[in-house]
Amino acid sequence: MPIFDQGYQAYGGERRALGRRWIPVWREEAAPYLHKRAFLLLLVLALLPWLVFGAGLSFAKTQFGDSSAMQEFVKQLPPVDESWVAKLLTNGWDNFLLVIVSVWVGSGLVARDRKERTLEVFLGRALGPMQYLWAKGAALGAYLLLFTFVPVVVLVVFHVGLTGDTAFLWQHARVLWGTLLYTLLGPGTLVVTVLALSSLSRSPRIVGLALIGIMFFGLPASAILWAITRSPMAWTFSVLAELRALGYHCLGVAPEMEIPVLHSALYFLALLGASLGILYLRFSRREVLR
Amino acid sequence: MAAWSEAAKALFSHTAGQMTRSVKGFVFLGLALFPWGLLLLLQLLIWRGVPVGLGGSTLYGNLVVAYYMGFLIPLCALFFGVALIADEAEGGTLPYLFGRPVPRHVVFLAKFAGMESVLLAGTAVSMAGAFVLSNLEAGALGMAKGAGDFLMDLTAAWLGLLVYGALFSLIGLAFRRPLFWGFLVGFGWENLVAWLPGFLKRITILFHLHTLMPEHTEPKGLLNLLAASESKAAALAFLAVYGAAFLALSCVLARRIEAAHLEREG
Amino acid sequence: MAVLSVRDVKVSYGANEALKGVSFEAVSGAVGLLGPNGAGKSTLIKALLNLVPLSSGAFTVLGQESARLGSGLRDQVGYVPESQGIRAGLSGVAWVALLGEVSGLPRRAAVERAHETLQYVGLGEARYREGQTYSTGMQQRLKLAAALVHDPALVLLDEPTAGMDPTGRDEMLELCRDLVKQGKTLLFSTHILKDVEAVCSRVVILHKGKVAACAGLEEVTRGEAQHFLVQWEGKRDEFVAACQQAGWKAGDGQNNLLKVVLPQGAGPRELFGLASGLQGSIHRFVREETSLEEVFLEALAKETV
Repeated sequence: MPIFDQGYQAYGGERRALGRRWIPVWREEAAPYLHKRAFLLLLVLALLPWLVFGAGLSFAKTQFGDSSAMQEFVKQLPPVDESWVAKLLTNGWDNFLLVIVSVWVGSGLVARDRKERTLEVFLGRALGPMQYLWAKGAALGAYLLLFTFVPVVVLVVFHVGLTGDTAFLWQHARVLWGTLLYTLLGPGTLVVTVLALSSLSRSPRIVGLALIGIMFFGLPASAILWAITRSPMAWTFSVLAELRALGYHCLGVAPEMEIPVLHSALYFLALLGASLGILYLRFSRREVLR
Repeated sequence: MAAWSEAAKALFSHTAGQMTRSVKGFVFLGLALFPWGLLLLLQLLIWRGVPVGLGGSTLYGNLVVAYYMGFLIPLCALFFGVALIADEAEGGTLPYLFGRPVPRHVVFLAKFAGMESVLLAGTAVSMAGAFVLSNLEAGALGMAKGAGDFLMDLTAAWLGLLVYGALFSLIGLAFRRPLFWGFLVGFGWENLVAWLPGFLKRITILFHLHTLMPEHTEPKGLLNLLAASESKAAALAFLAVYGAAFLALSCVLARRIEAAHLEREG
Repeated sequence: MAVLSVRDVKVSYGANEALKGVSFEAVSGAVGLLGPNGAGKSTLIKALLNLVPLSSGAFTVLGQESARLGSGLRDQVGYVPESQGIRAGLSGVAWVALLGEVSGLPRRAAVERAHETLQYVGLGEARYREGQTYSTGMQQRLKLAAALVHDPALVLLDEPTAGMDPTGRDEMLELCRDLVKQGKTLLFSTHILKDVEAVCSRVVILHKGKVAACAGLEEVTRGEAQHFLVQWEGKRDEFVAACQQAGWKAGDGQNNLLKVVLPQGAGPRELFGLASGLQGSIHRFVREETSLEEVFLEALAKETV
């Protein structure tokens, strides 16, 4: 009996344009997380502070604003504005979630393909390194967007919905575009950095540990350096502190760590440049395949 | 018994030697020496007459709490603990190790001991150097006065390494994604719950470690409040129980493990 | 038109020159890429897929220059990697379908093609299992299915029978022969000579980054010299001495026969002519085909010298 049940069949159908070949790679990388309960729980936990503190504030003001007993309490509540959003967007909890998602989704982006030797299978197709990296980066970027920009959108929708204050949308337009800018510059740079780190190792575990080390090393190191020198340059060691400052600057609020806006911008430009440099060196001569 | 005790010694030496010669070992060395760099910077600034925000002994206290306890010890224990068996699985050498006529839990304990010996030695050197550099102005007499507190800090650091090391080794054996769970526990649960009022903080390692550390090395107020919550003897007892339990569970899992299970971990 | 034409391809890894100017053509059928470990076979295949950059030289696939078309050219090429090359956590059909989509097939077509190619390679029953649970032989077939999903004209196979048992190996070779019948061109890289003899019509022997030999398989095994096995009834020493005096190589061959190697220009007539002048007679006379192994070892020896 022949080993194959049917003969070889040729394919004469259509082929998609070269520019769209990244889509299945992106989908295969990103989609599995939406089926993991732990990941969905993480998403809920990310939204929770926004709903509780943000939407809850709006709810309290609208529902209890007329009650004389609650008026004093309601007066104490901070307004939902750029300052409040900056605090929520860049607090310790949000940063912690950012690191978890970067480690969980990001550490294996390139490293796993190197370990399983599927990287050469992908690059041996009509995919190309740029499309491959775009697909992988987009997978992580989509989730970082979900954990940073989407909660702000949810907050704005709840606030406007509960208060009926549509003027909020143009009086505090910076809440939305500032957050989008922060997401693109900050977490966006983080995506490229994670890709660069992931391209340096065959072990997603090592990449994850390196990410954790880099993110969490900076905080105590910078805090202590700042305590010694009182110079904003001390925060350069801490990616999380710089992210925080960037968030404040994008939303037009003065950051607590007194990091100047130029310093923030240059920091992320330098980090982006270094990460792109690593990716270029790794992929241009295919060193990443060795 | 004699046959596998020699094997255990060989594994211990091999694990310790490998750690000191690996890239991870050099990273650990760099992280351990970082406080020296900070303290040397401080001394340089003081020597040049630059006004600084805090003195050597205060900086040392901040380093112990924020850097050693809050970062270095959990990170290094995570770094090396989850990799204890996983590195062997990834490298394809686990079947050779477990195929020897040595009980698997002995293999695990020998590797654990090798790992801990390097971490304990490295941390001791780092903290001793930091203590000396931070008390240069106080001189030998000042250092002698502070030696007791330094020894308490070192004891707390060592206990932290042992218990965290056991915890993360257990996580490395038990979970498919040990890094994720280790990170969640070591940097999430520990940091969040250890600062909460109530009984819940006793289910963290960090709280008991803070209890053991001398009050004057901590920022005033907050840690005094926490330190008053239990006695040092109770803290030691909790840590001993946790450490023993984690190690015992790890030994049980090591005996039952399948190499293929570990190879699937990303 | 040659399906694959390689012109003076050079590849260097730093100071180490892995390929030192390799040139050959694959018009159709299966071309065997033979060579010892480290000869540059895998490097050549990777260079053809742009997985390692060329230091100099060029190649064309279906008449199209590699430099001009870039990644689009790889829609015409399938690749069976030597080791691993399978995504853990995905079933066979999911992995092959994914690669089909990456090669431009719409999603539905990619899934259909994945089922077809997996049936074709004999993995129909196992296609819903995760790839990393497959045996070595099944994984090799899975990789072949993945290489065929987008119906390429040229298939590059890097040690496709590595680690397979004899039955699996035979089936893989049968598949390769069938692919040739379907009009595919194969570049079959291996160090197993029997596989090349079973599948290929042309052979390129690589040694230390250079082409040591390149010709049709029949041509290579027949060679310029003619090898005969002779049963001589008479004094063996006398016969051997006479052959050597005539400038022919003569000595002991298989099965107690004498082996005589006649150069180009000489044939059986000259051999029988020489024998007629001696005391004895030729009772058996058989032309011996040179084995590929002998040719291979000879080519390596030449390159070493």
